[in-house]
Amino acid sequence: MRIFLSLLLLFQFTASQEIDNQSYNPCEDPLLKLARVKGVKAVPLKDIRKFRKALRKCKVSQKDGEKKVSEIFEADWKRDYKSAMIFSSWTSTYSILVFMTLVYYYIGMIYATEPGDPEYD
Amino acid sequence: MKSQKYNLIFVFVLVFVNNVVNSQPKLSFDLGLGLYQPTLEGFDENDAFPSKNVFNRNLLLNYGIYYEFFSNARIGYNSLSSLETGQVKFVNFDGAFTRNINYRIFALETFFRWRPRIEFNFTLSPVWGKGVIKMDTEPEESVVDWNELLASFGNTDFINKIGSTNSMVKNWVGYAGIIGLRYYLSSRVAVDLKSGFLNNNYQEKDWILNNTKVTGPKLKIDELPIFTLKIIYGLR
Repeated sequence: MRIFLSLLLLFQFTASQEIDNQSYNPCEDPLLKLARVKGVKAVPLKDIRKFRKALRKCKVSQKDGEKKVSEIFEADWKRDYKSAMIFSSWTSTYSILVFMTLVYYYIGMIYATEPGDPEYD
Repeated sequence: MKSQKYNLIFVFVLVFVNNVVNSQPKLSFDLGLGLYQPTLEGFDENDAFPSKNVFNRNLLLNYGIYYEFFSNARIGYNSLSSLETGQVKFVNFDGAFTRNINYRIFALETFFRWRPRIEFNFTLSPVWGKGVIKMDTEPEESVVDWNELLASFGNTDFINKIGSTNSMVKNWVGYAGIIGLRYYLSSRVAVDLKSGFLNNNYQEKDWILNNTKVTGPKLKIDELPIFTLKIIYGLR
């Protein structure tokens, strides 16, 4: 029994510690894939720390890691820029309306007169 | 026929789940400061109130939350608060005093990106304004009432002084027109500078104090130019 338990302990410390490091590529982390395909903002808030960790690992451990990471962010910028660079539908009319209201307000502030002003004398 | 029905349900569920998973609700939270110049005559013209300074007159605490519901458009809630605390000193009485004016903006904002990092945004929104004045007082009846309660518990040491806080409240409506310039530091974080006006339909009549209509302080808070500087954080 003592020999059996000793063997069991021995195997616990020898066999169980083996990690397959070669098959893990940090640049292929599912969170990085998600950020690449759907954007950085698609990464859930609860996974942000894991995401940053994966980014760091990808940068350090892979030869072209830095390039891959910068590609993720560049693609995100481009995605956001493309989706918002032109007004769509009613938003242009609304924006012009806001702009005109503000122009009208500021012109009024400068030129409008009130009873009691010198112009009324 | 039955299998067709199940197939349809399956396709419907698949499309629905796909929409939920793929769509990106763009939720953002912002925190910052505002600057404006109201004329709070009711407080300025009376020495009993705490003296005015930049913090209790011109500075506004600003926070908000926005949701991008359409491409180039967001809806949100934005709160601008002007706060004043101190002691009031009347002839026969002095006590703690708090005055809060809150401008709650229910914003509909459109925007476009002029450059990848630079965005212009346009807001025209209704405003729900609320003024609250709180003051500590010493109502005499309260002392007797509390002493009776204390006696019922077997107390022999009684109090001879007690304070209580009451508040008077006023709600009003208005509207705001604001144009903003936003600079994205990263895809989640941005700095937003806004300028515009705040028009409040405020009358000093009809403040409510203990279910009674009373006259409140004179405030000139219509046609106010306003500036805000905020840090935006994109939650999703």
